[in-house]
Amino acid sequence: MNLIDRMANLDRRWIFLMMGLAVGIPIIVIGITGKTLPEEPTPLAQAAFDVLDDLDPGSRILMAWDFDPASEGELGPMATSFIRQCAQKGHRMYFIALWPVGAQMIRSSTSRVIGGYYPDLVYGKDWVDLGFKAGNEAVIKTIVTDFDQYFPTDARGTSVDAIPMMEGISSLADFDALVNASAGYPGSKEWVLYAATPLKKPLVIGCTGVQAPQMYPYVPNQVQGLLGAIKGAAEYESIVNKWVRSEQLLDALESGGITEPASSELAARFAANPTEASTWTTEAAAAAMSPEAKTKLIEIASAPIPGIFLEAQRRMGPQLVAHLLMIGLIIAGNIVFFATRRRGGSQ
Amino acid sequence: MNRQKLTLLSIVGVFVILLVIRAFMGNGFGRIYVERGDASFVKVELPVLDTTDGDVKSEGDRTTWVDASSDEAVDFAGAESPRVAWQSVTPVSPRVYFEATRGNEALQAALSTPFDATIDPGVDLGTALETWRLALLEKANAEAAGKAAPAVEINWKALRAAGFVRKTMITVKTYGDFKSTLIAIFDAARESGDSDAETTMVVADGRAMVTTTADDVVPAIGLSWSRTIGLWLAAIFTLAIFSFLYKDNPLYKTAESVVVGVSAAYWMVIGLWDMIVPNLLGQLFPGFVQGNLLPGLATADPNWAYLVPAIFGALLLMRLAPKGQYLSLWTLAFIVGTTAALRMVAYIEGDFLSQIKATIEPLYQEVMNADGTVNGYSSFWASVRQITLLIGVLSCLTYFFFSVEHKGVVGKVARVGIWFLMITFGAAFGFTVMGRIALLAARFEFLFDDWLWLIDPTNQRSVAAAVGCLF
Repeated sequence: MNLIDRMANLDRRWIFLMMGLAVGIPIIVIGITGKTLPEEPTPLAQAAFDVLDDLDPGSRILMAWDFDPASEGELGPMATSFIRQCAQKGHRMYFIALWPVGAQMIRSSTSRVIGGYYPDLVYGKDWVDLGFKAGNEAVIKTIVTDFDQYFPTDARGTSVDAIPMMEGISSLADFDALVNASAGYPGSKEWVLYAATPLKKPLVIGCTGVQAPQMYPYVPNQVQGLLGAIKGAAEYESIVNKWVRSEQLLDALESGGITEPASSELAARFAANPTEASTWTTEAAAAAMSPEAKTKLIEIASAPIPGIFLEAQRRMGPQLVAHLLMIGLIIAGNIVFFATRRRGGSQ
Repeated sequence: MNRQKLTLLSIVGVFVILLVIRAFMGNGFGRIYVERGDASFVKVELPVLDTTDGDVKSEGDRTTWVDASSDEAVDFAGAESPRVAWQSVTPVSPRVYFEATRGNEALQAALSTPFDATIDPGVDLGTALETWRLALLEKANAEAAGKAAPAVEINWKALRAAGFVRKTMITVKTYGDFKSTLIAIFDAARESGDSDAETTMVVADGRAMVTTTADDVVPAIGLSWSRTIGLWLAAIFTLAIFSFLYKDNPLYKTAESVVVGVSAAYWMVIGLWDMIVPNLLGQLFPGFVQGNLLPGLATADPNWAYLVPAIFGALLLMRLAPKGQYLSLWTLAFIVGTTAALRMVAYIEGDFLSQIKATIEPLYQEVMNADGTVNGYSSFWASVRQITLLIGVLSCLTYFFFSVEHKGVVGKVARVGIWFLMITFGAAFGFTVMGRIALLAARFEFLFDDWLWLIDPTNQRSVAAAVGCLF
């Protein structure tokens, strides 16, 4: 039996094993080295960021987490970055779920991001978990006009009347933007059809790869920002990471006595190239800053990005290797097909 | 025993051996640690404040449960107020546990020299801490830059003199990895020769906690058996599902059945507490629900209109009854009719009209720069996109137009439509593959990180745990 025959009769379990190694080995390598692939944001990811960035601090953002653990690998990093951007910007976040397990996803992502990195945010004032509601698109259709009818309490059983940030919320029209992380039905499409289109509200969507092709036609008129699959998540994650560092650097510079517009320019420079910060602190322009302020600036510029904010970018490594393997297998399969046909073995 | 079974058994055997070996390296794996604390709540009557006209005035009382240590509890709770208390359990990373226990043991050994009773009361706590923090930071910076690191001396006398007691936290800013800072702290403690036998320091989660043996603290952080068993079950079920790739087997069947059963039960419980209790029972019997099930629910008069959905819900359950299953059809008819009506309206507006509107756009798309001039490059590609969109829509519609035979010009246009459709399906398939690989990567990360502790991308165990394994 020659090579062509062997490949033609290859047990599919060898392919499973190869795919397992193609995904598993990069995860271990990236996990040990901490290195991720660089991400160049596409206009869609940038648009998703801009929708939330253009709103004033304190804006009301409805965040619908319509996914479950089965799609957490794709949507979890998006949810993390959405919360991080809103928390850093100072938006008020209202979490709901149309999937039963979405309630668990809300608890998981808020405890990781808000609990771990924004502990100063106050529950009920800066963010609220309104939990899961059954009814699929009927929930959206109802809250477009009457929010309290579906949400008399939050997920902890507290009456919405006793939650300060619920004051003034009577319908979806009272929110400034909608954010949805969706793994299927009910999800992105329902938010487009029943909420964003009739209300003309800005809608940012993070969806699974399976859904993404169905959502592209809605951009940009009905959906203003779209993150498709893990690639979209990685791009958005890199934008948010860079922006958060830039904001922190700006705070450090301004508290050290550097004023606008120099502070903004320097913050952007140091966010793009962190090593510049330590060099700059030795220059005459930094003379106004105290040693403590300089130390703090260098510290922020060179601090590693926390691992939970690199999840999507870490998962792009396995994507690359697995896709290379698939391309190789497709080429090999075609060679086998044409070689076999030439010998008259298959038509 | 045939060859297939032998292969399967060999794979399982090798895997078990690797697990056993892994268990004796580093600090083990697959454990979940928690911090136990006391949670106490008290029932109070809180005034409902009205601030609409700028003046704060009370609009009656609202009964609710609040944290016993909160300001509301101090102001409004009395000795007779009902109280509940239980043990709270918060998951912590293994790093916190290792640093709190191993770090403490190492430091105890380093600080075994007797305490010099000379106390300098002239140094205030803030100055001592800040000096120490900056010195540590400078040392860590120098080490990271490869320069000679200055010695850091911890002024234990000053700390003692300043009334340093247990649970006093010092924020230690880390530079580079936390391990180097930890070593710097240990080295500094050893070199200072000025340590206090009664004072120990625990470094945990980026903070340093100084304790005194006079009022020793029993660490509240420990292994959670229930959560650890849950983690192992999750790992075993993941492997059981993966085992289907080899061939169908009882392990896979078991895992599949458990997932279906647990999901159904979870849906039911969530549906009951998030929907039926607050939205149905809370409307029909608000007093009962507020008093027995949801203390936070606002009291109101019963809304008897909710009897209609309650009856419809009960009728749906008639499907399970031995007689009268046809009654459930009324509810089903209502659901189908309502859904069809809702969707028709939404699809006409959101899909049909909006998509037609988005397609009928000028073929030449002008994109402007911020200064008001035309951006030629962007305008060109935006126009190409619009032309492609129009060609795609028309050719695909032609392909699905079967009233005219697909010959001649119509056939060629339909052929173009097929190409557009194939490219669309290819893109959709590519997205699907990407999604599936991401999900596989997430499961592998769970196995390698949370279970086997082979990698540590989120810095859960970096100081101590992974050392024995790969580093």
